[in-house]
Amino acid sequence: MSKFEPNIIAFLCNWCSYAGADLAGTGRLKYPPNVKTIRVMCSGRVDPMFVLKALKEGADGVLVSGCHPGDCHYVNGNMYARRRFAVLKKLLEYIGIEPDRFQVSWVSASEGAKFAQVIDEVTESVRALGPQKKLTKVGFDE
Amino acid sequence: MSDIEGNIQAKVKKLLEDGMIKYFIGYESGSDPLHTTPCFIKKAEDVDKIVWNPFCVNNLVGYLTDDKKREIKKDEEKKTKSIGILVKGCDSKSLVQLLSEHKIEKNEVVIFGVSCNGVINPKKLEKLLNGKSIPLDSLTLQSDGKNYIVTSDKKKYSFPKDKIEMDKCRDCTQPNTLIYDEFFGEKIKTDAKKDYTAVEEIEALPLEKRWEFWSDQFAKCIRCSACRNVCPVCYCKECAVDSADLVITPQTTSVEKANKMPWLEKNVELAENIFFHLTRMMHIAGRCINCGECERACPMNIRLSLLTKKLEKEVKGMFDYEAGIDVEAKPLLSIFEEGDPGEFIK
Amino acid sequence: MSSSNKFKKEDFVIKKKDVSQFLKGLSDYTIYAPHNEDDTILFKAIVNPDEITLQFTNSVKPPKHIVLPQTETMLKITRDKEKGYKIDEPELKEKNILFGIRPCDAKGIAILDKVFSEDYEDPYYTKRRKNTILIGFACIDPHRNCFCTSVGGSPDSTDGLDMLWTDIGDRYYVSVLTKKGMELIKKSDTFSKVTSKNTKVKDQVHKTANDKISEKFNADALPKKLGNMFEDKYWDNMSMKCLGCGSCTYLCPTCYCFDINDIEYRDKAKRVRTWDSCQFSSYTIHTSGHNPRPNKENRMRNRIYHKYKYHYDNYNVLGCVGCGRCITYCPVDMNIKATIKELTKR
Repeated sequence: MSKFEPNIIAFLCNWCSYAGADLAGTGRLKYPPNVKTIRVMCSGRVDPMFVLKALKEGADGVLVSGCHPGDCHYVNGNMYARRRFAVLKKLLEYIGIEPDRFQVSWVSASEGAKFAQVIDEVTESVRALGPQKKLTKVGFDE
Repeated sequence: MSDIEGNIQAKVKKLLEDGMIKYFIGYESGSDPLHTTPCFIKKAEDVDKIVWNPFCVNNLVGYLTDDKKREIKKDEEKKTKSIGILVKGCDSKSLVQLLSEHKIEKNEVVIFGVSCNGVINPKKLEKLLNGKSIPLDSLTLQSDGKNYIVTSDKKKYSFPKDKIEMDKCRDCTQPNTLIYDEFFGEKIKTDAKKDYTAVEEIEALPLEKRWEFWSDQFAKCIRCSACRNVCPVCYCKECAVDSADLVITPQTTSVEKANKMPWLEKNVELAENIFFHLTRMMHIAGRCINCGECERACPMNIRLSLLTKKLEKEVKGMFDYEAGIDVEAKPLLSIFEEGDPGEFIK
Repeated sequence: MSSSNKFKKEDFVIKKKDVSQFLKGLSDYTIYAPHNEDDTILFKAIVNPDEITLQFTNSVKPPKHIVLPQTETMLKITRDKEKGYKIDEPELKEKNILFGIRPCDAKGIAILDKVFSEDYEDPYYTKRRKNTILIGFACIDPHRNCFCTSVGGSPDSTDGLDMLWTDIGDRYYVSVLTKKGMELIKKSDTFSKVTSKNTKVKDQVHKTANDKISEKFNADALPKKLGNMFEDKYWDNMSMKCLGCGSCTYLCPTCYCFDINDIEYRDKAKRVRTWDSCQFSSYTIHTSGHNPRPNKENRMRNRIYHKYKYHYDNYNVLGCVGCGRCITYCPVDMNIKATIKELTKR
């Protein structure tokens, strides 16, 4: 059987993590191609519904990445995000979803190497979990 | 008729006669002796309908925002008169929460506070009564502190309080209404602590067992929205998950309508049900005061209080925050602290 | 959809201990029967006859979902190399037995039959219905909220049923009502002839149950009365406590409103039909954003009108079977019995 390739949705903030990804690209750093990026203006823009919806649509894992605390382009959008996702993470674990299905990271515009490493880690941990079925819509396969 | 009941009636009568309130929200006798039902007293001659007893379970606070939601306002209701409302200790936390969110202003309500010894879960009592074949028709109930004495057909039966009261009453820390304009009854002292045993029991289960438990619970959901609609802090006129409702104006183009994100599909299946419940939980995180109404309203007996209690526990643990105790407080998720937990972040 | 026109009814008895043998002989069918889990009685597909609970008054959810599922896939769309796309429709060949349905719920299905086959034949419903055999159990212990006898039913009504079983002590009295029912009886040798004593006991059981429903009122006058009550103030007042959730409609054996949605998943899609509820504001919202029933009083009025007027006008039968679920499970104890009584008084 071929190796399971996870499908990961990453919500990256425009100013830090997206730029970090860009830097990783221009620096020709290698990281797994399993991540599908959605650029948002700020990690504070990411509603928990985005995460749940991605999982419902069959994502094997979701990553939200923003600026380090204190670096937010909008002063403190990431601080709100941190609170929100702390609660969401606890809830997901509580109902029996593997913690690694939903991950959060801070990656700044200068951290191309960290970005590549985060994607590497996220991909490997989600790959280890196998396909995400619990929160995915059903009834489409024969 | 208890003193409290009589005093409430007299006060409501006075306020209505003086034109101080447009109506009073309280309880009246329900469809059977085990239930009371919310009532809206508009005329002074109706005040003797009002009851106060251990069957007064409903949290009435939600009706305050409901009043504002109605689209066609009748003219006589438009006069800015306040609403009188009877609020138990637990429910008063949701009132405080609404005040802190400026969903209602203090001058719009006349709050009737009471001291509450706990309210009865009709389902539990009915089961015990059925087990002993005790007829319901002429049932009356008194409390002697530790027990409830049920009188039916001239016979007396005693039931321990903790066997028939609502789960939330067992670790009630707020037996008296927090803020009020009038207070009825004698204030009760309590040194009760919040009990999270049931939540901890689930937390202690291995991941797959937790999933087994919760997927069974969520699979039962029929998405009647009773949990959402009964919730005092779920006051949005348009709910995020009712995507059909969301802001359609004559200016909305057909392209915009077609591209509306269907956050929640209408079909009832596990994934959609979980989406609904988790979204609701995220929306009430740090605002839910554990009045237990969602679990009570659920016809399918989903253990929603285990979710709301978990929220309360985590919110307290991670942010040292408690909803509904301070009128000046800001909602949990619209503030932050430098030292908020972040160890889950890579 | 009644095939009982030329059928001559016949009666049998079956010993209680033989029932599981009878059920085991029906392996061609999926048997849906009442099952008790955490004090919640629900109809579910039974693998082993031991899972069945027959000690119950009625299930939380009426078994209408066997013939009208809450979520039903009407078709599936997938990619196809030659045509570009492929559409699959469900075959609906499954043969079902609904074992233990109460006469009120069976009457509810009889009402649905008219809706889904009279003006327009709904292929999904009629296929399912044709393949479903209804084995009813006469109600022996009606709930205090039951009022079937006031809306043209009874605890031993046979509307919609293929068989009616009555508990007569150590055996069941089996009245076979249709050909479909007779075919099942012929498959098993566990049934024997009735004695006149059996019939006597059965009649007594039916009478006792009928007498237990003490409260009787006449709902026949309602269709006419409601005719000129549309603008009455009554609706504003009675609906004030309504939460606008859908539990009364989703738990109603005669509510059949549905919504159709296309749901996408990656490059596949399915068209699903789901229950909908007139109590939701999204139910009537127009594309323009206008909502003809903007407030809960409008929606509550519609529910009462549909049950007691519109349905009668269209099908000559009230759209209510008097099961009392909407009273029992209403989070705010709305009482449809009180409503009917109030309306008939006018």
